[in-house]
Amino acid sequence: MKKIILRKNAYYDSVFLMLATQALKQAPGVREAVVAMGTEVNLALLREIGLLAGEGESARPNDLVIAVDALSGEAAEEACRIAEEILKRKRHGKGEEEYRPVSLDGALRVFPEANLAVISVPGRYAGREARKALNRGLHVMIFSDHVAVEEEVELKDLALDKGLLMMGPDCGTAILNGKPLCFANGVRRGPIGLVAASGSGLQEVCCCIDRMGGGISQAIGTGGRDLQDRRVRGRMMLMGIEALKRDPETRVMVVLSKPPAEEVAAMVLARLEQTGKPCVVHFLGRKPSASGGSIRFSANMEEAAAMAVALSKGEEYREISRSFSNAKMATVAEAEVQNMTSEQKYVRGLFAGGTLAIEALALFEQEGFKVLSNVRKEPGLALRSPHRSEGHTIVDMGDDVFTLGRPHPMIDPSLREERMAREAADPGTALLLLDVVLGYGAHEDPCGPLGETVASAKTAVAGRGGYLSVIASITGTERDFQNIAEQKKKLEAAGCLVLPSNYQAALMALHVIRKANTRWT
Amino acid sequence: MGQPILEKGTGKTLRPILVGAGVPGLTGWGQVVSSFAGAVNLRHPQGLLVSLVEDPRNMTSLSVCVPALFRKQERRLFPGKRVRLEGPSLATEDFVLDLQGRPIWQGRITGEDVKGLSPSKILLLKQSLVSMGQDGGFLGLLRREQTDNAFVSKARRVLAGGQVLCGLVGLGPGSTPSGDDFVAGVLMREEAKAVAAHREPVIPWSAEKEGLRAAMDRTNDAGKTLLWQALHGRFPSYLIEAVRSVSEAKGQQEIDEAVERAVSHGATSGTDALVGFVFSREGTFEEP
Repeated sequence: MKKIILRKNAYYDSVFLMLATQALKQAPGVREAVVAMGTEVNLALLREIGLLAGEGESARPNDLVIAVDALSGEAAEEACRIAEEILKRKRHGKGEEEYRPVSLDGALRVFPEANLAVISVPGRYAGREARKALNRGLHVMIFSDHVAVEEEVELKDLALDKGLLMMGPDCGTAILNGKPLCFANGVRRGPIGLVAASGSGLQEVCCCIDRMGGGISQAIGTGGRDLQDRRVRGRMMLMGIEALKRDPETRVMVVLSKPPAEEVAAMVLARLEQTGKPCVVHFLGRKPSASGGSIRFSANMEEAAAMAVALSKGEEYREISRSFSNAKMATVAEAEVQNMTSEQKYVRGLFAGGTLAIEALALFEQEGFKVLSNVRKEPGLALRSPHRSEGHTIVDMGDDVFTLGRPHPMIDPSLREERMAREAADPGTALLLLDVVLGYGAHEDPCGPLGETVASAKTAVAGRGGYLSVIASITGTERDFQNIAEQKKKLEAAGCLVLPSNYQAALMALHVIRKANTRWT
Repeated sequence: MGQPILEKGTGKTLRPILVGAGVPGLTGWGQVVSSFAGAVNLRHPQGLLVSLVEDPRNMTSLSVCVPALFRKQERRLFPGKRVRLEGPSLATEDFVLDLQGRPIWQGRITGEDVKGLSPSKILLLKQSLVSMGQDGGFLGLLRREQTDNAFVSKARRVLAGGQVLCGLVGLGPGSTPSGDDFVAGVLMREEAKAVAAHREPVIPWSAEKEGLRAAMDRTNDAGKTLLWQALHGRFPSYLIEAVRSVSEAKGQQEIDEAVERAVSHGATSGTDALVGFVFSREGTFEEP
């Protein structure tokens, strides 16, 4: 059944047309969908492949033609309804749209009681907008990156003077007074407050807390450089700790950061000691120090969550309950490598979350594996090109090099899917290690397309006599709109092992890779 | 970022920071046809689109870079609004863009841009493009594998049949048809070779520029605008930047980065133009 939609003199942007095409092609029962301008040659081609009908014949070069070929009339109607919906949603500047302010001043006129500004503009303008917001008495969250460190310091000093939060730059998630900001998950409220210099890490710990029955009072992001760069000196981390100290709802604190500068870490720990509240600290990539006083150190993000939940319930922390014991992991690993070829030796970690990538990387390195990564800058550990894997490789696909001018992989999974296909084509690849991040701002059905890609990758490897192991974790909760249970089912149906946390997924991957590297020796 | 808006007040004069070299030559009434977060497109009666852009990296020789237009609110520049192009200025009922004395952006490739371009660099560019380019447009022409993309199949037939580049004009998905981006890339390659050799560019497979000029009327405004400029030896800023970056690259990684930046332009436009740039047909012009 064929249907045509024609839009006269349509000027849509290309990225929108591409997304519309993808949405139509994924609509149920659609065999083929073409979204193109009605130029002479395009119409000739549509005619040639039997897709041109009815009013499509009258299209002119500036008209948009949407041609759908579906299995049934019903499916074609549904596809057309989807197309109409997309076009309606995206129609530009006809004046009938709801007023959307384009500047901070305009936004404040519409919503004068606002007390926080989220800034997401090209990095070189972000500082200017943040300064404006701070000077108007607003807390600030800068989603943008590419803000100079000197400007970050200046903005954070201005915020400190005014007693305001200045989260970021490159701050992708926060939960303030129960309100999720940017990429955040639906979590229950409770007595645990977090400050984190790590976006996906903050999401992972919040989700683990929720899964373990705990709840979140506040989750404050600081931006990734806050503890790493000596010039920033943990300004927002220290302020966040102070805010949680004063917050009556917060009884337990969690501090999380990518590897911090030594002296900044010392300042943070000293400030935590002064809060008088029990605290859990996790500095990624650093071995936990011995716990003492009110501070406990965790070995991984899931453990940080478990410690905080135990403290919030007045219980002693023992050990995280794992769905797979070490023995069971070894058994699963044995089965996973059974049909691998002798060439298949390498882990290929493709992550949407930077901190999740670092956690997996740290675990492999602790176990003596040399893993190349784009999160590493040291010669010999940094990938020569982030686009090409070498040996064991873990890639943060949310890195600037992948996201310049295109959506983050948490929003648009296609970039990672293409990379998965390339990794599967490499005879050395034994295992794909993946993360999936759910929640506000993330893709509405990430495991749908991901599951299909996993299945194709496995089929491709099986076709040349091997077996591809695929292991993933899902950072999300039952409250996330994507439905975590359904998402998990989709991955499992594709033959993916889904573990309850990023740490456990990495641990399972470690078992498989160890086995893959020793079975032929 | 939302709808671009104008400076407050009737009769307000805005001064652009860059003016595309082709803009002062256009006169007559234009009309706003689209309005995006960082760009407003005006349609000139000749069917050419003049773009008002916020970011200098989005310049073409038919653009005016005027960040002030996008900064303040009060009025928005909606589709349907009329704009008078008067050579040294652009005027609406609410404001005037004063182009006089502003820096001119030529959109031409210079010898400096291409001095390091070599066949081996083009080969690396091709490899990088194959692995990082955006699917959906003409990337399949480089991959030389079976495709279910009807546009690519058609393009292959056009090229294999010895038809001239004109046969690709207006072909393909996207608001700028992929074929137009591809042809612009081919023309850019010829321009780059000519600049490097200090000679006039030669259009491969078609000695007649006139053929392409005639074909321009068979595509949409966006494609026509791109081809019109390419036929005048002028190309978008992002493509010139890509060529210069490849020319200056010291290795694969820098080429990868240049490709990464270029292919992020539009949906498949950046990819399709670079495919045109590196594409060759054995025996017709040199294999990269």
